[in-house]
Formats: sequence, C-alpha cells, structure tokens
Amino acid sequence: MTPLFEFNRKLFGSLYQRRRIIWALAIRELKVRYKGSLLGFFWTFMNPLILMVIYSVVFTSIFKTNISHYEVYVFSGILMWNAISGCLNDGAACIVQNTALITKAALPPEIFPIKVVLTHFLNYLLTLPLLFGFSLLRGLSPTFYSLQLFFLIPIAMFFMLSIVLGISVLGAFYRDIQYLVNTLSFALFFTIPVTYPISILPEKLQKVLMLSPLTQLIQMNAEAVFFGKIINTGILIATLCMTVIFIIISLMIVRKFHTRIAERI
Amino acid sequence: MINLERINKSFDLRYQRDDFTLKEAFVRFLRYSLHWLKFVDLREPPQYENFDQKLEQESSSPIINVLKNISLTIDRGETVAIIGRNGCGKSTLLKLIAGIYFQDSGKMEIDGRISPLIELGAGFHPEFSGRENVFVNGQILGLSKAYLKKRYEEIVEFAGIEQFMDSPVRVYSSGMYMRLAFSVAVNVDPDILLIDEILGVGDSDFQHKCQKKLDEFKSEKKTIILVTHDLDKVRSWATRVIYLKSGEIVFDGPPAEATKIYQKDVDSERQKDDLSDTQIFFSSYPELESSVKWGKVSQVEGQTSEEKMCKILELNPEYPGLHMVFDHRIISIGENLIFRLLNKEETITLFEKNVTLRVSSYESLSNSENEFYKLDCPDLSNLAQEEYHLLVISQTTHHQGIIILKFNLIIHQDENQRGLINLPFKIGVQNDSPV
Repeated sequence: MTPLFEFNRKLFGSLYQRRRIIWALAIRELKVRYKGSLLGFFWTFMNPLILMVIYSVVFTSIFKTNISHYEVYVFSGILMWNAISGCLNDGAACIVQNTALITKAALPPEIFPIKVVLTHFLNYLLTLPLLFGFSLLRGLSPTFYSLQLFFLIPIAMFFMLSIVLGISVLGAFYRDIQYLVNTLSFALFFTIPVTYPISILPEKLQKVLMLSPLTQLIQMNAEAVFFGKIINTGILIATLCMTVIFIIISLMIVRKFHTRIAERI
Repeated sequence: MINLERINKSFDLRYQRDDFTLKEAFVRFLRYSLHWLKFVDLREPPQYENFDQKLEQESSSPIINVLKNISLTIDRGETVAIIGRNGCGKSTLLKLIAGIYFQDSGKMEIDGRISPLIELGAGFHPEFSGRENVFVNGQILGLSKAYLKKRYEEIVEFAGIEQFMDSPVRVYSSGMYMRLAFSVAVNVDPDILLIDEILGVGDSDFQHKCQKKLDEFKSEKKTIILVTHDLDKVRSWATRVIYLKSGEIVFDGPPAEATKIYQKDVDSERQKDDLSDTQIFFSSYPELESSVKWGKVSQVEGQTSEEKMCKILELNPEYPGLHMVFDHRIISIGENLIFRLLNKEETITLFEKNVTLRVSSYESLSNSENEFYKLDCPDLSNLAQEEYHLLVISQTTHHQGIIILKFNLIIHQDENQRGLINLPFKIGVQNDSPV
C-alpha cells in the first residue's frame, strides 16, 4: 500500500484538479432536485416549512412547550438537520449511485462525498433567507450574531465531510450501510435538540448529548441564528477535534479501499 | 509513453455480488476472530458452509485472473488496437491504463494526460437539456467551461442536432444521444486517448465525420489505444495490434497478421461451439488446417478432456486411411473393432469393416507409461465430397457394440488431390466403457 502521506497527497491532488467538476455536479444536483416539480425551487422551502408547522402544533398545543418563538427555533433546527441527515443518507449511497461516472468516465470516487456535502450545505444556504424572513415575520429580528454562520457552515461542512467520506466508501463495499445509516440518522434525530432546546433537559443528560458532534453542530447553529449569542468556544473546539479524528479515520478507510472501489460497484 | 511491466489483475467473485453486506462481512469477521482467539470453534458452522457452497456453484474458483503477466510498451503516437474475444481482459486492461482499476502486482508507468472514452455520455443527465449536458459532460471530461463556451457552436454543429439542444436528453433518440456525447468527447486534448467500442455511432455520414476526427488525432501524434471487434477498422487504421486471449498477450505486432490469427481462432472456436455435443475435445489442429492434400498430415495430437480414449488421430502418407491410437490402460476395448461409416443423416451405413487392434510401435509413444493400441482404418480417400459420420464400435464377448468413438468427417475434393480430411470437428464418445 502507498504510504499514508504519499497517498493523501495524490488523493488531494486529484480532487483539487477536479474541483470544477465537483462544483458542476453539485450545482446540477441542486437543479435536478427542483427541476420538473410544479413549484420549482420553492420545494426547497416546503419540506422544512411543513415539518415546522407540524412540530409547532404538536409541541405547543399538545406538549404545551412555552418557549417564545418556538416555531422559529424548530425551523432553524430543521434546516440544519436536513442538511446533516441529507449528507449522511446521500453520502452512504453516493458512490454506488455514480457507478457510471466512476467506471466509465474515470472520476475518482472520492469526489462524490464532497459533492454530497456541498450540495446539502448550498441548499442550506439557499434556505437561510427564508429562515430570516420567517423570524422577522414572527417579530424576531435577526442579529449580527448570525454572521457567525460564515465560519460555522464551513466547519459543519468539514465535519460532515469527515464522516461522509468514510461512510461513502464503506457504503460502496457493504450495501447495508445505507440502511444502517438511514435508521441511525432517524434515531439520532431524537437525541438532537431540534424539536426542543437542550436547556430543558437535565444537566447530566445535556452533557452526555453534547458529546455528539451532531448535537454540537445543531446547538452552535441555534446559538448563532436563534439565541443570538457568541458560539460556545468549548463546543467549537470539541467539534474541531472530532473533525480531525474523523477525517483521519475516513482517510484510513479510503486508503484501504481506494483501489478496489471501482471493481465492487 | 505507456509502460506496463508484468501486470497481474484478478477479481474476487465473492465480492462481485451486489448483495455482499456488512452483515456477512461481520459474521465472517466474528467467526474467524473468535476462532483465532480460541474461544469458540465456529470456523465451519453448517449454514456458512452453504453460503460458501453457493459461491462455489457459481464458479469453480472465486478468483479469476483477468490479466496475467502483461508487459508492454506503447510509444507516443502509436495507434494500438486491442482485440480478443469477450472476457479476455481487453476492457480491464484499458481501465487499468485509465486508472479506474488498479493492478494487483506489476509496475505501470504512464506519461501524459489520459482521456478515457470508455462510454460516451456517462455523465449525461436525462432531465437536462442537451446544452446543459454539453457543459457538465465536457467538464467531466476535463474541459474548462470557458473552452466549452467557445467551442459550443462547433460541438452542436458536429452533432448535427441544433434544434434539439434545449430539449431534455431523455427525449433524444439513442443515435442523437450518442452523437452529442461523441461531439463533446472529441474536443478533449489528451496525450493518450483510450477508446472502448464507441466508434459504431450514428449513420454512415456521422461515422465518416468521426473517422476524420480520429484521423486528426492520429496525425497529431497522439497515442491512441482502441478496444474493438471491428477487424476492418483494425486493419485499416491501427499501426499495431495486441491480441489478448484469456488474459495473456498471444500476439503483438502488425494488424494484418494479428487479425488473421484472431480470425482463425474465432473460426475454430465457432466450429467447436457448433459441435456442442463433443465430449472429447482437441485443443488445436494446426497441421490439419495447413494441410492441403490427403495424407500430408503426419501427426495430430490433442488432449482429451475426460476419458483419454483416443490419444492420437493421424493420417499417414504411406498408407491411406485414418489411424487412431488408443490407450489400452485407460479403457479396455475389445480386440475386434467395427469401423462404420454413415452418411450425414446417420441413416445409411456406407461401409463397415472389421479391424483389429495392434500395439503401436511409435517411438513417440514408447516412453509413455501408457500402453497404446493402434487402429488402422480403411482408406477413405475415394469418398465423395460430403459430410459423413464415423463410428468405431467395440465388440467384446461381454458387451455388444459399444460406440467408443464417434465423429463426423468432412471430405473436400480437389482436382489435384484425392481428398482432404478435415478432422476434429466432432469427436463424441459415449462413455459406457466396459469395466
């Protein structure tokens, strides 16, 4: 096997060379998603809007949550969560779905996880105006703290990429990874403060949940766009450390499987 | 320049299935690690055996060697055609050079930018218009957006489908689809062009255009490696041909010679296929094919696949007739054999003769550990040009008429020769040999 450093240098080189292809594919993916549907790009907003309405109704009228602007909180959480779970689910399947491009057009398989992450976070960016519009409508004006998203989104993207890279390669080898990830991400949804603020939980449980980097991302996102405060640096550092760990694991997986991906799909 | 040194490539069929899952991998891992840790002896649980058996049924060995020890050097500006039958490893070789697959062992050096045109339109998305697909597919092929913009009109003109550029490609006919894909693809500017069976695109007019474009590549001294079954194209266009046969290079040289060898192989294989009920089969008969006259063939040797009943069939110039040598040890045949010639439909016995076996006195067989008998059959040289069936029937005291050899015989008649016996076509053995 090629030495780790040498392998990574080559891998990043070939990915950098194809940066335009990745971009073009991500843009195409976004276009595909909303092409041909009656409401066009508006579909981007429909799914989180509907979910937001459901959660708001359920939690405020049935569970009697009394957090001010609960609907805005849920909405901001759902948008971020959609990006995260979209990355996980599409990530597990992305290499298999692009067999033709890998085995016929000789694209390196690793560009597809990057494309997936890029697509979902571009989608997130596109829905942000809606979030701000909606919160204005509910009488909650966006603060300058939202600008923290400028570095929060890249961090979230790097973190998601660090996971998705490994998952996508494993997903190409073991087809049930896709189902596993689907189920897991569904289960994770409930451990993540999307439908509730983390502060309503007991202190101990909060600490446990905050170990999950996905919780950290959602929490930081909420702090930036909803609570309007400086992102907790402790959480930020934790996420960055997680990113480094996961990217190393993922790169090891990629190196181990890289040469056989094209044969197995 | 491309330099391959002792490249080997194999595929493990166990993992080639679509449904190989984490669960299976996990069970396997657990089973072996537990065994290794000596906790439990779980290495061969019965249900797992079934899984392995199932795989074994699918193929005798799960590992197939697709390329065996391939060494070759292709210089800049060469137009190399790779020919061979389906499954001989042509495409795998191309994909190795393209960097899609990776060799198991061996060294590969490639100098220059590669454009693999393995399948056209791989990057096309059915929902998008031709225009959008030109840009995305062009970028996948490594062209810049600015370059594509500049060349757009030209690409569309080359494809000849101006009026469809704004319709989604899913409504395109397959011809239009391929034409557009090809038009984008020819804009690449690589040092090495890999082409896999994509030249049969469109009508003859379009094919002519394609050919012109490819000639341009050739005159620009680009290295072209081409996988094709089109022998005419190979002859007229390639400067060098590599003939692959089950993963090995059997010929590497000028096109005329290569296609001749290939054609011959294909024909003989086809003959073999046509006579599908063959049980004994001989690998090749070079002497027979080159012989013109009856009796010219001195020795024909073949390997029998199962029962080595008939070791050698030969035609001897000294006395006309067909001579067969039997291995006595392997099959006990009676001393009296009936040699029977039937017509094509096997309805009429043309002639029948009793022949006796005698021990062979050939030097070539003397050091063999087997004992051979030789059967001299009657002169067949006067037969009319036809197809016949030939039976050799063994008669022993215990058995009555066991057919030990059966094959058909094609006699060609020329004015200057008595006949050419065109053997091996069908040698069927009915395997109820006496014990």
